[in-house]
Amino acid sequence: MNDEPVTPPTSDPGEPRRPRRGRARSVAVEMEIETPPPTGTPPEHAASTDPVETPPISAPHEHATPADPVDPAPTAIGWDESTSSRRSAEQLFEVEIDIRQQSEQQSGSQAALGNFAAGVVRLIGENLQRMTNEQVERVNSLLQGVDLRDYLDPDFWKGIGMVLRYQIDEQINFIQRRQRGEYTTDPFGMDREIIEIARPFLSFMYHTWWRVQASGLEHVPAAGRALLVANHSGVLPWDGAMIATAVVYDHPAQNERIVRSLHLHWFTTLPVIAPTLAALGQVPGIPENAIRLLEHDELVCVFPEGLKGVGKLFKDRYKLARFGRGGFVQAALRTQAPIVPVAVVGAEEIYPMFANAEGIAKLLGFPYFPLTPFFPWFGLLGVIPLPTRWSITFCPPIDTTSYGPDAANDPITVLELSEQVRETIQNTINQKLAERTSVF
Amino acid sequence: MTRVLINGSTGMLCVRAAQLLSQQHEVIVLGRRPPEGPIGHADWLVARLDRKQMLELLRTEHIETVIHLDLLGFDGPLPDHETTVQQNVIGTMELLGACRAGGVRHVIVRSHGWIYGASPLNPLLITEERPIKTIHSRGLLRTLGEVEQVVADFAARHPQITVTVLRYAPLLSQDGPVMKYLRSPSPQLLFGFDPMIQLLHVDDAAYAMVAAVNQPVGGAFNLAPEQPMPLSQVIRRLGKQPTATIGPLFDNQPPPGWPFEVDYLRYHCTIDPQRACRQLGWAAKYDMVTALDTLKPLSPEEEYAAASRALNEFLNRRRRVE
Repeated sequence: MNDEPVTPPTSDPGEPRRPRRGRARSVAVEMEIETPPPTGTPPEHAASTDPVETPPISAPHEHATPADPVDPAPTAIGWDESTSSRRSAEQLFEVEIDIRQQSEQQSGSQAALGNFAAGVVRLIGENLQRMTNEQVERVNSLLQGVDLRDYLDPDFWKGIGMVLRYQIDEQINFIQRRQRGEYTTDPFGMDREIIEIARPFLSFMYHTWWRVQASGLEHVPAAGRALLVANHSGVLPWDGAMIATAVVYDHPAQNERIVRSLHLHWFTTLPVIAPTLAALGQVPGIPENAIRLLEHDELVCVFPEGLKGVGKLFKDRYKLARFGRGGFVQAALRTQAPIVPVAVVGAEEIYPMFANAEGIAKLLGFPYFPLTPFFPWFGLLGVIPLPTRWSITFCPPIDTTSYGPDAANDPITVLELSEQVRETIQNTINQKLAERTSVF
Repeated sequence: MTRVLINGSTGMLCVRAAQLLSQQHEVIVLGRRPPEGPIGHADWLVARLDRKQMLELLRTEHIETVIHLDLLGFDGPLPDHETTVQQNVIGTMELLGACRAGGVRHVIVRSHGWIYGASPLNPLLITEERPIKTIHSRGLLRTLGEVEQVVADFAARHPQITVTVLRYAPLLSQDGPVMKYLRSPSPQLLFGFDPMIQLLHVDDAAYAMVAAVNQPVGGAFNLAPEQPMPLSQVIRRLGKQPTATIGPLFDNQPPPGWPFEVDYLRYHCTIDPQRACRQLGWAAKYDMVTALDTLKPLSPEEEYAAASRALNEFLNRRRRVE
């Protein structure tokens, strides 16, 4: 592994170097390594005395051996298995910020190098978030003994180079493995690896673009079946994705439950979109599918307004349409799953649709064809949603076990429950709208 | 011990079913060609029998159960439509008539799991209660819808005869239409679509047939592995890469090499084997991954392991016979 160093630092050997930060604090990713932490010269530094390894400039050699007393041992943090990659990544991001601050005090080429180093560290951190625990451990062992804040040290670049190469190898392995078809999907076609890839983008939309404020997530069970029922809006079904993202990032249990949204079965007829939705865990909205998912104790999200919700005109915003024929209540009653009403505010304004061009829609075979201030006039740019501010409220669950499974066959109970859910959502929306000061 | 007649000798399903059934039952294989492999202790008759001769065979041999596999298109290429109708539809009607007159108690008919039709409105797993699509425009299914109707009609009119329909997911056998598609160098998919698909190992299909003979419950049974797989993944697991073609715009013709309607490349038609699990006690022994792995060339070690497994199985069977 330890062959050529990637980039020899371009530091001027004559210039005195600023005092280095404490080595122990800096080696953040050294946890979980069986060998004792470096007390004197770290093992990797011995290697740097090798003439092949040393970059042409002679100076770094003397810098490489730490002159300053080294703080003993980075304390081993006992992180739990599932989030180790995330933690390591966060520590790398801290390192990145430190490097940036450090390089700001430098000048010229050193500052540029510092910026570059910070960028590379960030890239490694982002890749790390997608890796498995074994891979993270491997990266940790590669970085062992490397002072991650000292980007002028050739060892820094050597370590970084090895990690980057390892990460690239892993990416290639990943692609090759996909090419061989060695991955698993659930019967609906959900592919966890694809979900992992989509998450950073959804997180960006959730945290930065729409600044979603989620509340009442404690009403969503951490395990077992439940039916989330939400209002539908916004031409494209972004609201389903954001509800799922809210459960992943803001649920108190932090167990990253995947919400299976039921989408309009019309989307199944669209190329590219159909397999993508399936890979992301969305399921065609057919009652049998809802019941099957609930019987497998999944968290299912439905939008009973359906087409009437997404294709709603801007003037009708936040007025809930008819809740289908209560099919979702039947599914919940039959499987005895609690119903959690969800109110989404903010999604109505992401594409202000002022008219529905029914003629074009009919011609294209679409259920609706939106005309917004930006679409279709600006082409694909019009598909970028407006950055409104969202709030998602999860209401207290409605228990269905008291009704018994036979109640699913009683239209009166079904329609009453459906109406109750609809009113809960409408009231919550009205309340949230009153609290809201600005759309953006 | 039941006296069983297997009508139709082409394909590996006939061979495997005859092998397994002849261990417990008295089996006769009737076909126009000799079976493609060893059929255990079963006897065979190579002939093309007309109505009267068939009746004579059923009566003289006191056949109790008839398994009807003699349908064109399942194993091997599909001839012109007229020939197919003649053999599949008329042939089935004649056989059913002979069964009625010959005092047969149980008729088992092979059918296809895609008889329900591919549609975006299909639930994930289709159960037997869902009405079948009787009108198909292409391939094997074109006559099979009519065959199923004939069989259902016969079952309704003759309650004294148990009629079982086995709706198999596409089989991973050598000559099956789906296998032929998968064997092409780079099978074509429609751009932007990747339906879930189930493929059944022939052994599992034969075990289901044995279970159906042993427990004459009647009715239709879906037979498939429980976990479907995306079609592109199936192709990749066979060591190939799918190519994407733009879907047909006007004529609704599938890409070359696809033997069914184009909709089966767009939407899934995956079936639920729960009824067979409950009432026949059948479950697929091969899931999709292991079933597809049996088609891969073996490494020397795997070959050795497979050989010793096969030898053990063979010796056990010999010992049981003695």
